[in-house]
Amino acid sequence: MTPVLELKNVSVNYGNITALRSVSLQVNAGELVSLIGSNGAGKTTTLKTVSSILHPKSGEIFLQGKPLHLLQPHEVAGMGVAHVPEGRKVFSTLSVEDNLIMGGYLLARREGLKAVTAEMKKAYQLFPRLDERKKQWAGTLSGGEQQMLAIARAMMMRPKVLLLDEPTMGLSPVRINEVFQYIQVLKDAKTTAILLVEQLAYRALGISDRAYVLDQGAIKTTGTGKELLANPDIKKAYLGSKT
Amino acid sequence: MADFVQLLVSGVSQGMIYALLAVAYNITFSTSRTINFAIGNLLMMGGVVGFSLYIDMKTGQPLGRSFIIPFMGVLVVGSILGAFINKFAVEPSRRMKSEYGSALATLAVGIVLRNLVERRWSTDDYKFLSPVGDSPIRIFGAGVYPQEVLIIAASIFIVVALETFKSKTVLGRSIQAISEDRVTASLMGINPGFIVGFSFILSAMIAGVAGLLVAPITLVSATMGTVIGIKAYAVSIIGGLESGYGTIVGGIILGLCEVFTARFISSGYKDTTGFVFLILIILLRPNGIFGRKVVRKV
Ligand SMILES: Nc1ncnc2c1ncn2[C@@H]1O[C@H](COP(=O)(O)OP(=O)(O)OP(=O)(O)O)[C@@H](O)[C@H]1O
Ligand SMILES: [Mg+2]
Repeated sequence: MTPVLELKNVSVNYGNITALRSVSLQVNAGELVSLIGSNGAGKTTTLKTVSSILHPKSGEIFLQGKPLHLLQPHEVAGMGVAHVPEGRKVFSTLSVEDNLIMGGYLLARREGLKAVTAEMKKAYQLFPRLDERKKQWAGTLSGGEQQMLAIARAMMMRPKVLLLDEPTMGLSPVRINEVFQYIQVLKDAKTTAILLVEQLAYRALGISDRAYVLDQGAIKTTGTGKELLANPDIKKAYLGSKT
Repeated sequence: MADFVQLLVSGVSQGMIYALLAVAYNITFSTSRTINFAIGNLLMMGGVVGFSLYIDMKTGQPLGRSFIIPFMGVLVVGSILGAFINKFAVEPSRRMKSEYGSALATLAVGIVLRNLVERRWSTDDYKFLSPVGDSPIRIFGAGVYPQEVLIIAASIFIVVALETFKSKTVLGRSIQAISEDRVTASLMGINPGFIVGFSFILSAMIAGVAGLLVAPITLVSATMGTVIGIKAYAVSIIGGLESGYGTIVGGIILGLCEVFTARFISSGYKDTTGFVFLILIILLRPNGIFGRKVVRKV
């Protein structure tokens, strides 16, 4: 079966700095795959390259066998890739509701506003706190609420693959638990494949089907979540904190 | 009293023209972060195109057509010019990553338009007979020109319609999303190039309509947009570069300053007091009257 998302030997440069060296990875239908690695390993760069914010120097990226690497970001989104960027990036001068509507931009174009309203209802069911704050400016939400909004906004397009870049960054332990619960819910729903980037490697591996370890721009190891959790090298290098 | 009402209506109607042009500056600034210095000459094109489709140049009399025709003509020419400016002045500058490129390129387009009108059309001033009549109507004993009332009503309608469009429709909201964060908006599937192009078309149409509205109270000529364009640019800054209602307040303040100075001090000082006022506001409220500092949490 063709994977939902596939990277084949992707290399990316920033000027003359090499950020990714021949990265290959796959995410299959219904899978939750995580990408772990220390600061500066190239995790964000990988996700940005998938959504065409960056373009690879060489290599190819496919969504269900169709090439993504020659497209513009809005076209990649149009193919069914939703990207929750590092730092959440909610539209702070728009209301919570308007943020969700922006997430539903493609859905509105394809199926009309009714579909957007229906999808928004689902988002509010999953995140009741957003429902209570729907008229509020997104910039005035707490960090945890902004993260929920960023995830809910990405789900509005009914993506084939969801890219999550450090959704727990800067959150308190209680909020971190919440975020992992939500990711579990999205995983169990099986409506979208998920590629999760996390600093909290221990937690990420715990809920992942499979994972890749990125080190200085190259894939170092891969395996199931369980295998990597048991791997002594990985334990030593990445699983120091068990938050 | 009568005198006061008359000045009030003149000042407000003049101010609404500044406000409309300021709104035209704002729309494209918010999506493209560039300032379209051709705006004043887009207003001029609105005046000239509207005049040519409505008035017989030789006799100065109306051609006897419905006012819908010059109105539609102005919208069509405006949208073509807006698309042209985006495609050939703004986009190439963005590709060259040149900070002043688009300012200079749009300024150049404006000058070319003015020169074309001078060469191909005329270097003279023409009276544009108002479609709603040129004899004053009586309000509180004051003589008020119907065109001034039309300007006020039409401008308020345009600004309110635009603000409603921006806050209530998907396309309008995406203008705001692009203006806040272009990259993130593109991750939602919004095509920034399309939104920017659309904003230039919308902006040029508004500038053209402003020209059509103001023409009957000024005169139509190739240079009619030059000074208005500069003043409206100042208004767009004091109104807060992204606030539609702020520009109305800013425009009206400037319009009233000018009219009252011309009446009670001297028409020679008309532009001076207006600009002094604008400078004071910029010093006191650098974000504009309604400009808001955005709180962004990480
Ligand atoms: N805009 C840029 N220009 C130059 N170098 C960059 C740029 N962005 C990232 N880099 C470099 O590329 C490498 C990979 O960065 P990236 O942001 O992908 O890391 P990351 O794994 O997401 O790290 P973190 O966990 O800190 O978010 C780093 O060495 C970084 O310094
Ligand atoms: Mg990162």
